[in-house]
Amino acid sequence: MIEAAATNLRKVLLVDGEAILREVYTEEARRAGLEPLVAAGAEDAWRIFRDEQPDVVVTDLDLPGEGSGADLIQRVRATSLGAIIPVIAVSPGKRAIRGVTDAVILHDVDDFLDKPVHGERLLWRITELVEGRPIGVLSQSGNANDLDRAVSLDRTLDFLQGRLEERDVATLFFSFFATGRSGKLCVMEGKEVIQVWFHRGWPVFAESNIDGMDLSQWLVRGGKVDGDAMAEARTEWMDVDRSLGVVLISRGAISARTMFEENQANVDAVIATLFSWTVGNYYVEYSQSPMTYEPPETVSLQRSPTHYVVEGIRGHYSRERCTEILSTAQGRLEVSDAAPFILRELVDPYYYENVIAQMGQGGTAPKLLQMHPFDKDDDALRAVCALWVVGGVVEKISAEQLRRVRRSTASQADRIREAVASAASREHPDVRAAREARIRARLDRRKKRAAERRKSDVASIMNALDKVSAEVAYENGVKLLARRRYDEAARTLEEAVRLAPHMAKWYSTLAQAYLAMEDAGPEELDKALQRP
Amino acid sequence: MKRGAALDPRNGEPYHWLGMVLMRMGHPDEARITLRRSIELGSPHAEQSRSLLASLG
Repeated sequence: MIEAAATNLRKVLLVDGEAILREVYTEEARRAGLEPLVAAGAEDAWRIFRDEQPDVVVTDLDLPGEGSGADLIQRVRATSLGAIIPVIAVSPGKRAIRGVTDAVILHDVDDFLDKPVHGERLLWRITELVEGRPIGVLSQSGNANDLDRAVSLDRTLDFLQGRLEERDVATLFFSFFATGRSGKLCVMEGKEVIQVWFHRGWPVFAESNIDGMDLSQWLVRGGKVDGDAMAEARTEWMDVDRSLGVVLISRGAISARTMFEENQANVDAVIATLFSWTVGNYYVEYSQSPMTYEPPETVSLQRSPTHYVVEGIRGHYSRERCTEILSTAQGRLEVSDAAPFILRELVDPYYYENVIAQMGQGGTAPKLLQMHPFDKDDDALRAVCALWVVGGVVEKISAEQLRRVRRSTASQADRIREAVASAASREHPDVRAAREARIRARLDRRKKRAAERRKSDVASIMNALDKVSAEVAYENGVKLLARRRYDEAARTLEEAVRLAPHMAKWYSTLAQAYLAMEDAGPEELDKALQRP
Repeated sequence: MKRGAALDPRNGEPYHWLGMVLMRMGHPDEARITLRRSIELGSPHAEQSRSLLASLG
């Protein structure tokens, strides 16, 4: 069994001018299992950032000495590592709101918090921002410096397009996963279109015009929703500002839990199909702020993008394709400490232990490709290719390559930054104020939603889905009872009671439905049933 | 139905409906006990429970 490296704690760089706050943050970070790196000023922080390569940066915007928090963020973001890790800005209060909006606009801060910052709250935000990213990838790998992927990992981009022959599906998935961003991937081949929506790097919804892949067709063909019920729901959906899924649930055509599970199954199927595509046009729209992005259906919390990349490559990539991907590596290859975390998702001890053990003997990509079992075993080759794409296998690139990439990404980022700054300087003050107000409102919504999300985990979501379904079923059962459709009422109420067996009152209603189902019976019973 | 009554053992209403279902299912003895329980607990349908008990003899 591969053991996680002892140094696999996530490193968090905490920058604050107040000694007492640094102590509080340090203590809280240790309690949360993070490795705290603290700095009092921008210069200290910059030195630590370069030496330690943290997974997250948290900085006060108002720092003592030379250099502000915004300056630090700008320097960090200009690096290839800093472009992809989460950065949280801490505001000294409302007076600094202008500085905060500047930081958000110009430097793509992932979040900001008002002072005083509660340690637990800060750590929750950190955990949320790094969730789904394998430990070690961001702090150790050469992925951020990978020549082929540097463009897709550049956080300053918001749109990318091209052909799958140039940048394959796995790499496009990786660009969401590694940056934890939201957005949409659209791929077209002939008349067929597949679209996948991502939320914080996780695929949450997929749709396609391929026959049977559309979620509504999927539900009907799978027997989860009656065809007539779907048609009625579609008619209602045209007139309301809700998703078709929500309409189906509110009409009692499907339970919320089943909808959640079927959406997940549909996402799996559509993405599995997508990975079989090798030609076609694609475009990617990245959203800089996940909270402004609304997934069209229920949010998935079940499978990480890593799962899809690893499964997609193992299922669909040929030997030639895998070899081609690995051949982009030019330096020495190493297995990152993220590999066990990535492969843990696959219930397959062979790939989990044996392949990585083989990797340990490797050197460069050409040597690796000649090694047993890679020269014979296509599955093993696919597993390694998947690890390469998602960062379980990393390349140590030369200093010259690194300089070249940094020049390339830094100049690109500078160009975009200059364009934004130039546009901002020409902006009318009223327009800028309105834009800042929109950003503040968006950030407020983001904070509000984040607070709501904190309360829930997968189990509580599933329970909530059952509760919603139960209430819908109960209400529908009562309506059916009033309409004297007793058989349907009894079945619907049975479903309500099954989903919420603790609702004592509902049993009485169910009893009324049972009693009403019988046409004949003692006069007293019938009389009792006449009561309002 | 029995679970429903057990969930709220001080509420007479579930016993009333359970008694009616038992009666319909042809279990007069159990129905009698359940309807009596409903009356003891002060069900809002106590009057109907009494009528049903009377009809059971």
